[in-house]
Amino acid sequence: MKKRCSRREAIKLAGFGLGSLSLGGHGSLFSPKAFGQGTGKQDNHLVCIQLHGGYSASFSCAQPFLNHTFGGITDNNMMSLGNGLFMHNSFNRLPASVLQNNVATVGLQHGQSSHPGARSELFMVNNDLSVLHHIASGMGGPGSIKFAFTDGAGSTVPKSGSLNGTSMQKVTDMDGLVDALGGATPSPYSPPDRSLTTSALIAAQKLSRPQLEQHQQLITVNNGFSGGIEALKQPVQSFDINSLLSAYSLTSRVVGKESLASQLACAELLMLSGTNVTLCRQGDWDTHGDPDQSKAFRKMRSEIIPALSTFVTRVFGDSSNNIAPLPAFEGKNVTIVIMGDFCRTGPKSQHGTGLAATVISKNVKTGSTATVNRSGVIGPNTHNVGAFWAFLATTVNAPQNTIDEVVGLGGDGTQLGLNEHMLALGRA
Amino acid sequence: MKLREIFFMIGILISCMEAREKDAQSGVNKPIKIEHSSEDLTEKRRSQDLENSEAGPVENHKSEAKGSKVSEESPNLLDGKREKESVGISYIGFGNRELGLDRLDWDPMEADRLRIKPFEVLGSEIERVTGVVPDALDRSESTFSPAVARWYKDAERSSLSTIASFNIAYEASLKMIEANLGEFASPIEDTCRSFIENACSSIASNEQITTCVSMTGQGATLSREQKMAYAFSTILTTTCFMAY
Repeated sequence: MKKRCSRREAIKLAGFGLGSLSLGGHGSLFSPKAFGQGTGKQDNHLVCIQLHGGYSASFSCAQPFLNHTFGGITDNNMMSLGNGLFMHNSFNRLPASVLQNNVATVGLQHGQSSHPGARSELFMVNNDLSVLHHIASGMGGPGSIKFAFTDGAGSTVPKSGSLNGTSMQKVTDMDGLVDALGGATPSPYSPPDRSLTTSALIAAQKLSRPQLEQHQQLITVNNGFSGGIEALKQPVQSFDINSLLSAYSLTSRVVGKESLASQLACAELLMLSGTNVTLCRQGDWDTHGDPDQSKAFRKMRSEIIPALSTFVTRVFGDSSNNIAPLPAFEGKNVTIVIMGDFCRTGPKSQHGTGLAATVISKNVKTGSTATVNRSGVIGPNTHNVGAFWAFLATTVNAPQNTIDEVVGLGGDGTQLGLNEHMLALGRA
Repeated sequence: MKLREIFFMIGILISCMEAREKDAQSGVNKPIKIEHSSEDLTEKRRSQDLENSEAGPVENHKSEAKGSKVSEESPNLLDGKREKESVGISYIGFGNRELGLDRLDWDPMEADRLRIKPFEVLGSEIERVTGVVPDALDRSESTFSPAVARWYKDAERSSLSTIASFNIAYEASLKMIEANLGEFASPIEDTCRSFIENACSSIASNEQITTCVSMTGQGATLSREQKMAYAFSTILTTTCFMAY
């Protein structure tokens, strides 16, 4: 990682006194909503939507591209949301109340322009663990699947690591999830006694232990036993899966890697089951040869926004249209982050070395902390990945020691001054 | 058989033995130990390529590789890490290239080869042991996220597919027991031992038998068949059955 911020400073800013700060030039970015950090009493969820290939700053930081040869931004497709946030108008299908109050663009610099390098830096991959393992583990709570991945391909973060019993669990269909959570309609040949099934899996894991310990290749089997046992120990939950499918216009319960709708529908189930972190992924965002971003805009409008709009409306509601969130999500604290490997840069939509991510949360106030030039290059004083994830961890009320840990993963380095990310937090 | 014919056959036998002894002395048909470092190989390939380009097709198809250092001495140390001993006959392929040059520095005897069985073989494996292909198998395919057609990936397990594996095994076990009630009347230890040895293709350990027997004693409200199905599906979820 090339850009470092001071660990001590980031911890300090993440932890204390944010309510008294303001962002120069952009006005206050504080949300009026209060939230309790690290209390563990509120249901908190982080949903990451990774656009595999890249996430153009034309979406999240549109103003610099206005009427430029690169970026495809004109007066007709750009919307100003306040506090320095200019977005592409494909996002205008999101609930107006959310756009007006709870969307922020957050910049980060990871310094990598290759896809694998960028993903590795972005997710702070180290020793088969990623930053998401740390956040999911640190958030704690009773959920049996604390960190879920809804895409079948699976090369974004390591799948073999386990941190304090938290491993990344792949979810590829909703039936399996509902079944594991006890919400399926039992058949005469289903195991009838959930606690006995738990005992059986414990016994099976014990009998398998010599091979599990000896063979590294079976690490996912060991993680699967542990996660499965935890899932079975949870109280039975019921789900209205047909209404869920209908809301997302889905006909299948398979969670497809190219269908964000199925992944976000699954994310709803996971959130209800107590999952802390869900990583969704959609491919084909390596949009080379797209100087006016028309391909990216088209993909965003057709493949991302419809599902995202449904998800945001169900989870956050739309107070501007008197739509309340679903009862199941009232009181839940959800942060959504839309990100890619990096921004796209001019003149032909090549690879950048940083990112202007979109964060949607009750704990952010609409505004922007990212700086991007007309060629899509992230500004030199943008903060590092550790600060970015520390910010996200703070929005989901991760405990202070987890935030410290995440900042520490970014490493101590050059002092970058005020951590603007933290100023977007809606701490009252 | 006439005495002359017997002497003739003895003569042939002696000739064969002499020829074999001669081969053994000259090293023909014996495994050859080829020692070379990666730098040697690169250099050798370069020189062979050069030789080929200059000399054209080569007719040398002898079993001993040209330029290889053939030795029967004790194996040397490569990279200072571990002993490498490539044992086998080296062949010259098209373009006078030694086919063994591209062999990976990988010893299959030492590699971690145990894998979890992929979804594609789960049905036939369950059927092999229970004689049943459970309905739950079809319903669970996407939970296992099998590889796409004409593509390979190592199978993995998640918490959901682990539970699905158990459910599949339970359905198959219960159906097998219901269809063959008479066969499970013997002492439960014997039943468990026989089932484990069939499922795992190995001798049942005391721990496996004890676990199996103890599972049949749990679940007060369950029928005998259900208890046995729990015991059998426990075995079918362990790596002794699930991994190969």
